[in-house]
Amino acid sequence: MILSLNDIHLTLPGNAGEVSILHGISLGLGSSESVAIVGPSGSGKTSILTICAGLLKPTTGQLMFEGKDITNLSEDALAAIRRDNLGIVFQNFHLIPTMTALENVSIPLELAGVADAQSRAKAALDDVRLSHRLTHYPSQLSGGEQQRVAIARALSMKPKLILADEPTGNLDQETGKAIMELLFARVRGQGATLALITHDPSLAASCDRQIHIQDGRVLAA
Amino acid sequence: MKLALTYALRDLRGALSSLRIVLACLILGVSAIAAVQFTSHAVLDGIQKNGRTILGGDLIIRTITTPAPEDLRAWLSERGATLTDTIEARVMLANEKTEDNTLVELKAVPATYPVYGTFESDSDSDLHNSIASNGILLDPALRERLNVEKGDVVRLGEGLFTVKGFIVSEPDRAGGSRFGLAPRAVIAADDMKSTGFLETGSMVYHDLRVKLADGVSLKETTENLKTDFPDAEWKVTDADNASPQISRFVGRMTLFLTLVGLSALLIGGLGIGNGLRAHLETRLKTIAIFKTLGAAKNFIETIYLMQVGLVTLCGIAIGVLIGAVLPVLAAPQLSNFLPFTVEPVLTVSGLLLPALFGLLTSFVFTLWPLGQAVQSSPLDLFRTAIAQVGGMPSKKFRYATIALASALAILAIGTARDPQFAAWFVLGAALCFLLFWSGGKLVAKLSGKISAQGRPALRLGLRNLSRPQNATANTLISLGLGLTVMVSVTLIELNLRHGVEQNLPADAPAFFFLDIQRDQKDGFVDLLSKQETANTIKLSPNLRGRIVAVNGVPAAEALKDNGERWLLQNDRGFTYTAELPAHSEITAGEWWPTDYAGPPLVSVVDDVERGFGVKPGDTITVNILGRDITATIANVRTVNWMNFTINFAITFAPGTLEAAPHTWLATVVADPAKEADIQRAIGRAYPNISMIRLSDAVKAASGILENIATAVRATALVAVITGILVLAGSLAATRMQRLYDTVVLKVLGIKSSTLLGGFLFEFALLGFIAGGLSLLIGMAVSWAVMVPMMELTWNFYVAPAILTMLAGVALTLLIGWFVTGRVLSAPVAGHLRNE
Repeated sequence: MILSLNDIHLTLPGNAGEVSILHGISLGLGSSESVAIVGPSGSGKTSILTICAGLLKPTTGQLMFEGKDITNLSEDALAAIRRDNLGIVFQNFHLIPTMTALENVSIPLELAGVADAQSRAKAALDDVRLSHRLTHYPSQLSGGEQQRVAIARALSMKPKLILADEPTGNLDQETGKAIMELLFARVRGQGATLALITHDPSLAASCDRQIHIQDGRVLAA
Repeated sequence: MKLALTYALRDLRGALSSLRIVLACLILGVSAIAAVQFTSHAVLDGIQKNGRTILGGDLIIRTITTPAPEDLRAWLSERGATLTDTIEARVMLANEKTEDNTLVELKAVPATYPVYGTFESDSDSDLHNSIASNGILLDPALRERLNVEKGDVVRLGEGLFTVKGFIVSEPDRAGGSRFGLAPRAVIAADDMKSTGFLETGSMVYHDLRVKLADGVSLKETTENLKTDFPDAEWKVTDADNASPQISRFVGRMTLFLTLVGLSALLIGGLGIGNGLRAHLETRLKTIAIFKTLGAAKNFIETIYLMQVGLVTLCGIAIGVLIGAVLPVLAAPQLSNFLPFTVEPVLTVSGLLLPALFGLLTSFVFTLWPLGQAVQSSPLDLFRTAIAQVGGMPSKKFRYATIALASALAILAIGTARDPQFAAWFVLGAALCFLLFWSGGKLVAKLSGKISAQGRPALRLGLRNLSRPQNATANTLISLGLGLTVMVSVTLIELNLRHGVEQNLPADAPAFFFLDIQRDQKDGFVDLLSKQETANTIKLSPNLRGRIVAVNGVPAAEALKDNGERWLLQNDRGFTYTAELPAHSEITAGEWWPTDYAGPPLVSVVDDVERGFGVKPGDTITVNILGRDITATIANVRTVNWMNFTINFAITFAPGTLEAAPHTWLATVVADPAKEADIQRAIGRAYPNISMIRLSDAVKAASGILENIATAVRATALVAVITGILVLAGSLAATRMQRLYDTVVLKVLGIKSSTLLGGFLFEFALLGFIAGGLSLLIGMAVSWAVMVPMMELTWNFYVAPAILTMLAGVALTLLIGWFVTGRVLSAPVAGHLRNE
């Protein structure tokens, strides 16, 4: 098990008092598997993903990464785990607008102190068939191209775990399909684990496993 | 670090538009301070470089009444020094034909003058040929004042002189400490006798100008002089401190202008903070992405600290560059005003001080929004909207802001020539900030509470003032502070220029008469009392001397308040009287009986009490004509100097000074229309008696103040311009929200005129409040400077007050319209489509 969530509860402050989001979520992500997290809007999918990424601390429960309890690690220690082991792909791509495609992909490599960051970033962009767009800024790229840059960035450090939040949500069907084929190919090629949130049943069906979430609880795994 | 710098630079791409205001505010403030520093250094450097020429020797040893003693001359000659004797006296010069007369600073020079530099006049021959055989060279100002031309005859005391020309350049005009009091007249030393001033006991200064032999150290000579003549009564000025008067003046001006410049920078600080906040709001997503990709918090903080540092350095560099160029433009003007050439000079401290002020101000105002921004949560990336910069920054940023603000205050106070004045400035600036900020918050809160039902224009204006992220407080601070500086400066200037004249009491004398000899006293009073409208003639004995010790402790060591150092500078006047002088009030002790006959007693003014910390019963030793006299302080009194009656800091009781040789001072009250007649009559009968016309003195002071006021106003204008910039920036930040409101309201059917009414109401209200508060604070500041600090009177001037209010409203309306007015005419359809 690369990552596991044990009896995770999450309560967040809201305008009208505290809001209970997750109620005892327990799940595990095995090595090299792809898992689709599905469920209606507001069911708590994104909260689960952000807890998996170490971006949100659960109110109670335990977060284990490669057998180690990382629930209470400091912000910087969690950042280091993300940097070395995780890749995240967002629905809105979230590229840094003032950096070129190459510079965006280089960031994780540079943060990790990789010596040949630029050449590895170039290779990652080549893998997503964007070697002709190295010096383009995000605003000069199409949505599909931006998501390919985001995938190259997420995979550039060859992470063990990829978290994707509706990666095709902002793309047309054809582009979305192409992007997912690319993502699956790259994840499988690297032997990484993929956890993705999606509303698309066919995309969920392409994964090895589906976890259904409703009202902050796991309905079926 | 390198990676952080790389990211900081990458992230600055395309950021110029969002950082324009930040840069402009920094550049304005820093360039103002740098210009003041560089100009001041250029003047002081000019004095330093030309010290010997400005002073007119390596050393000047000044004695009063008699020339320097022989033993001193022998001592200097032994060391190979060349000696030149000149004489100076403040006396009356009269046009022999018209009998018009005026006070001049007479200088009698031998053939060896000038010791350094070149004397120039418009005479056909050189200085010594011109003044030989009772020739005289005059300051060009005397041409008009006395209606004299070359070839005319003028009278100096008992001597008649022919005007040979007018002075073009006197190399040592600023030397020593008597610069600019009256116009100059130069005669030959040999002709001094013919004036009779040497015999009549007039106040005559003998300057022994010393030119040291090559290789002799000035410093050593000055020190040896002190050691070998410990009790000497002469005053030594050396070329290393050639013009203490100008140096002091420049020092004070530099402090004042630097603080006004710092006001501009502080106002700009608000713009810097707002500008950076707006910039960081566009970078929240980037910060969140960095966090998601595993960047440590410190690393992200370093990126943005570097970014602020880079922008700040850029602004400082441009500001210092402009500040360095401005003195080049000002130098010719200053050279006209000062008696030596001012050459612009680049100094490290001139560069360092504005740079440090800029750096500290920038970080004081940017650390807070920066601390808020780096807290941006990566969770926002999973939501549709990114939050605004807000919340409480971490402790580290809060403490750093406080530490840097303290450092800024310490720097302002620590580098000031008058730390107390600077400390008041810092406190005042902080209070002003707080006042305008609180005012803004109060206005916003109250506006939110008024419903204004049925009056849509009013409601729109009120909601603009009270909505979240409103610009109310920022508007009040930015515009208000700039206007406060301007009002303060204007009111101080008006009070200084006109206040003295306006506050002259009905019994203010028309003239001060100096150097009335004992045997002239009765005749003088008789003649004066016969003059039409002349009344209230008052006479006081006048002896010159200096304070030597207080309670047996040497005076320099006994001085407790450095603000009263003037008591030790130069020789002082002393008098004796049986009756309490006019416009004086006893605050401690008792006045002596009119028939007092006993051990020496003195009455001292409160400045002496403050300066030495003395009280009745303490003793004070003065040296008058070479004799030490120790007297007991009988009482302390306060004096209203603004009444212009004769008053002395130290007044003796009868019985001590009567026998010492001395002259008399007199004042007379007269109708202004008859002043010229009186001046002519006294000048004719008593050519040795110097007359100072109060109206001339006030006019001369106003003239000097006008030059100062121009420099101060120019610097204050920078503060106002910065305020306008900051205001424009603050309002620009609300433009999108206003556009949105306008479009929605137009769709709902609200007329453009109603929207316009709302805008006008909002900006006019802010303008009135900013103008009104500025006026109140400016009045308080100018009062504080005039009354407690300068011990002068304060008047309120209505015209600048109204102008300030109007300027506040007009500026706010103008900028408000310029920045946000266009949203009123925005086409609805286009924006709805963009939604």
